Amino acid sequence: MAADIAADFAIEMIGITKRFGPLTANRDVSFAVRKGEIHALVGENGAGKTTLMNVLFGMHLPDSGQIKVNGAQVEITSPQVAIGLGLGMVHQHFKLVPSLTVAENIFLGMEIVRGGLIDSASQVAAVRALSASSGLAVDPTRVVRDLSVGSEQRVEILKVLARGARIVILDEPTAVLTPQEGRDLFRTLRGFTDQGMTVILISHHLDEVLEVSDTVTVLRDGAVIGTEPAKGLTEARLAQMMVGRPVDFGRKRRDGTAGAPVLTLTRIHARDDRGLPALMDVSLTVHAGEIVAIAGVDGNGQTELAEVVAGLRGPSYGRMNLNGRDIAGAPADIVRGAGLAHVPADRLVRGVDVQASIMSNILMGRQDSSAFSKGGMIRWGRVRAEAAALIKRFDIRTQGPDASVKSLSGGNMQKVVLAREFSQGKQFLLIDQPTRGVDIGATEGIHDEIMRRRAEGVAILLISVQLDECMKLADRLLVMFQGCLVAELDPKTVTVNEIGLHMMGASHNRKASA
Amino acid sequence: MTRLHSLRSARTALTGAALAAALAFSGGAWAKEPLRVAAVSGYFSQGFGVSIMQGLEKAKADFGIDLTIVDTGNRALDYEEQFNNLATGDYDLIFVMGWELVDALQKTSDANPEQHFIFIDGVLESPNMTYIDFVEEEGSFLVGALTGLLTDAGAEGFTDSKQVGFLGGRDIPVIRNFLVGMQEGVAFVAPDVTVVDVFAGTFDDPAKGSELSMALYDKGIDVIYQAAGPTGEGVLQAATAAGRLAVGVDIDQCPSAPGAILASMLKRADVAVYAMIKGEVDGSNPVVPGAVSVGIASGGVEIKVCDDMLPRIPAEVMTRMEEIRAGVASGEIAVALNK
Amino acid sequence: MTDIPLARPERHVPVWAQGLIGQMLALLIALAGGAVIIWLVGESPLHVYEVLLRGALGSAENVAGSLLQATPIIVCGVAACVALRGGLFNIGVEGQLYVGGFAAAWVGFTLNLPAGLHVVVGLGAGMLAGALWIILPAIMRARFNANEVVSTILMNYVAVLLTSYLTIAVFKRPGGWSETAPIAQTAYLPQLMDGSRVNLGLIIGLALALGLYLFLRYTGAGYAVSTMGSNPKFAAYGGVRVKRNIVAVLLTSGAIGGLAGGIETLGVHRRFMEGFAPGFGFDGVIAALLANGNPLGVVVAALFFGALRKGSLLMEVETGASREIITVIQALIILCVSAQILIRRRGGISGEKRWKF
Repeated sequence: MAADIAADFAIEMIGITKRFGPLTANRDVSFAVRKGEIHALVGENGAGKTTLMNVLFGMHLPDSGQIKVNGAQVEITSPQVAIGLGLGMVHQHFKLVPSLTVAENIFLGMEIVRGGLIDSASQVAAVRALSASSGLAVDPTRVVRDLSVGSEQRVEILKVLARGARIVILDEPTAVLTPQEGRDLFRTLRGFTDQGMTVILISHHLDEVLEVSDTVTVLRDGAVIGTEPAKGLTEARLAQMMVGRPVDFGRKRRDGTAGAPVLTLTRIHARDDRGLPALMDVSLTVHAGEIVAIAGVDGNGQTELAEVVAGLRGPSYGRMNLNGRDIAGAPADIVRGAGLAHVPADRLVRGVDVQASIMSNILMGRQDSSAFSKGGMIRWGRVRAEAAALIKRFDIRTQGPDASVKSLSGGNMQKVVLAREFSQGKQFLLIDQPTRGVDIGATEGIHDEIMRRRAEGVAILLISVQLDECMKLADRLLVMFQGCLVAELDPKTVTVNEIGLHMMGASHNRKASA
Repeated sequence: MTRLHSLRSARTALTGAALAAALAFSGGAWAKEPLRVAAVSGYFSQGFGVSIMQGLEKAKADFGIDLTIVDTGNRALDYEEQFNNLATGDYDLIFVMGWELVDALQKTSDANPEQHFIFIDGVLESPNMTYIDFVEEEGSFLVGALTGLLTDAGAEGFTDSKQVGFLGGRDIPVIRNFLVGMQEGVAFVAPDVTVVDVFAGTFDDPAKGSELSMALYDKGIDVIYQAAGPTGEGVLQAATAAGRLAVGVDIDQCPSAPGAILASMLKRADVAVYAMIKGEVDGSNPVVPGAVSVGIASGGVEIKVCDDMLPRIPAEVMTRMEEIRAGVASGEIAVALNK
Repeated sequence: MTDIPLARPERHVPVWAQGLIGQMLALLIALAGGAVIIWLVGESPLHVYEVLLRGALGSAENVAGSLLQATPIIVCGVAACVALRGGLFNIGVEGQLYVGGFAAAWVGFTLNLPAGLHVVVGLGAGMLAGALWIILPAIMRARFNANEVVSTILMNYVAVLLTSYLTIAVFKRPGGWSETAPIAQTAYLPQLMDGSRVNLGLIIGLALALGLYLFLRYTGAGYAVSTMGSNPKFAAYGGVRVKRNIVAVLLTSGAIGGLAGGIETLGVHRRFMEGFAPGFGFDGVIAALLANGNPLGVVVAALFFGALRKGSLLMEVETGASREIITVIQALIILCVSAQILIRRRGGISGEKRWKF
């Protein structure tokens, strides 16, 4: 095991403190990574993982503390300095130029030049060599726009390697991958450490942390809770360290018969923003008191499906029925009137107006309803009372209804959306990526809230790229691949592997489901 | 903007002289308080306005007057306020140039009947004001006569097209006066020559002036007389480009396109303004309401043949022009208005 | 291990006060910059500012003159503000002002209507013309997401040249400068006092600003519009018909721009003339931007601009400083205010922009 090699550290961060105004993001954090190990850095959102890595990578200067790389004290004042020291960072959001080829992206800013011109042949050859030695298979001549997400990530890693990185930091690398792709990635990372490189992995997927890493450091509220070998840890123990209390991991599914159909999609086709087919022949039904989950790798039509159902994108063909009303092509206000509540995937963009107050956000969609409006005038008194009640009920941490959403933490912003959408007594709930970017403690609360709606007889369509979430909550599980529903599975019996194969299109026989 | 620049330096150079003049005259009863003069226009940096400025500057140098220049810009809302500011500002004489100012001027003048407003280049129906009325049709008559004679004489640069051109800014009465004067002048000396006229519709578009005159030159017209402000500058450029001739207006435009300008019809605003201030300062001819016509006879309007063109002009043409000029000045040759 | 001090309690200054202090500071810096320029052209800044102040506010007539100058800026500012709050940029207020002014004047000198009604019809025609003038950019924005900034700017040129053409070639008063025949007396927008051209337009402008403020704050439709302005995706998600609202907002903005023109022709000039109100549309847009879309702030900014303009007229007569100094000071103010807004935004926790500059 890597831990046995020696007390020979690749990275030592000692007593790091970093403040942003009143907020202390890292409080006297000491973090040491041995050479040749995979070291996982875990913690909830806002625990300070990203800040710590940004300090290490020279994007923030610490207020106090020191950093040693390979035993030598250094001052990392910019990412360039970090790269010069052999550090490399693979960001969660890729920073590739879609119109350039793989090789061009990898050598962007450090092109191999001969006679004043870029030597494409040498670049391609160099990428091939790097690809072979690292085990990251990509075609250097392809244009990045055409690559899958997994390939893009490989390009990002190659880019880091090409710049001579011996210490690689990966921020949430599996968030966009299928389980199979995730396992391939881990195999590659293990290959890196076998070659003497060092890997720092930021994650909040506890299972993969335990599976792949040698050592785990847990951060909570900006401070280190502990650093322990992965071998002796369990998921429950890790979660408790992160959250500060025991966390329930059981499956939430309960029995109970589904009621009448609430939402029916029949042979829906739709196009994406570029006018290309995004949904093909999608049929599905969601019954009262039932959770139907749509699993799939991000970007296979889930976004468009959610938009079509929510009335934000007109289908090019097909029928849609909600509570007996034809809603195909109807605008969002009509669909909402027919019984839709919607928790969108991109909360900060679509779910809230961060500039406005909580009160104003709570009102959205009901500004013309008789509950909050009279003769065209908004009854702000009622809105304020409603907001205050919801703040209490959903435990939103804020100064009050007048506080701007901007002032809330990410988890509390999510609660504002949930509070608004869950409290209106709608019969159909569309939930898109409910726990994306949400930490374990809050995830649990959100899952409980969803199950409560199910028990109340609400029909729920859940779209998630997190397989464990789908399996935990769903009564029926549909898999989406390239705009088609390719499988209907029983979450009680299906294995992760099986779902993963469907997500990759292995069973692409265009099976329409009930 | 070399013109503006030279004007500036002239102004500085003249300050000393003005001071000297003021001191020299300080003994005189009328010179205890320098005459306060204001001038209002939107066109001080161009054409006619430059000429007015020259007269004012000369008067300032010679008589030590206190001079305020107000540039109106193009905001109609401001005009009235600007006149009011001046009317309450204790000025002896206020010169005004520009037809767009007329309404505001009249209103202010009605409210301040004691204030001497002098409107340059036009006659209004207001009893309180003084008007400097350039008899531009007289000058234009001479331009018509000159171009007609040269066409008939087949002088250098003139083909047998028997057409001369006129380019006006806007089709407004003042500009019509120029056209009619030219037509009469041409008819007086050469009945077989016709005047082709065109109006640009704007005074502010040299490009349009250039384009329209190119079209005229393409028709075979040899010379264009322009009365179009900055639009006319385009005519001068086009003349250079086409290797044809143009006639300048208002001020001596000969230097602005050497070799392409035949002559300039001068409205000597400087002479008129200077004379008026002089008459007021020395009491010889105080300003009174009513029209003051300034034509060929008083030297307020004249035609100047550009120096580099003199060799081209046959002697008999020069002689004939001298006769016509004298005829117009004496009133022997009557130039009819278009009214 | 050292003790890490917890976050120090911050001095608490309310956001609005921060904003006000920021604006005032920006204004002071701009005036200081203007002073340097005045000094450079050889005048005493103190004297120039004194004359400026006196010219703007020194007497009842001067205050009235400032209000007269501010009136079109207020109305144009409200026009720009409507669009701004809907997340849209109507840079075409200038053009709407021109066509609105012309249409109102046309009603004034063509139709024969009883007093009162004549004014209403004239202003109505101005609003209609302004709305029509923005209909193309509005539809192109809603349907094809075509940038309204560009299309409305382009429409400005068309408006200025078209009204100029109509004035010179079709409706020119015989023998006059480039202006139309005067409007009938029945179409005069009443003036508020003797001896000044300040007219009912000022009251209309103030009422519009207050109305817009109340509309945005207290009505469902206003809520929909302002939410659309600050986050269109959120608004669409919540059921606001964004495309329809884009058209409605832009048409309203255009109509108010047209109204501004009608007020100027019926209330001040009583005819249409070329250059009857150049730049007021742009001043209005700037006032709206400076006020960050707050209709009441627009009034303040417009009054300030109006006072600057009025003061500059006396400044030109009494001092050697050119009236263009005012343009420089105004530009400095815009620069300083935008800079301080940017600085405050960057200082905030969230980097989100309120308006898409």
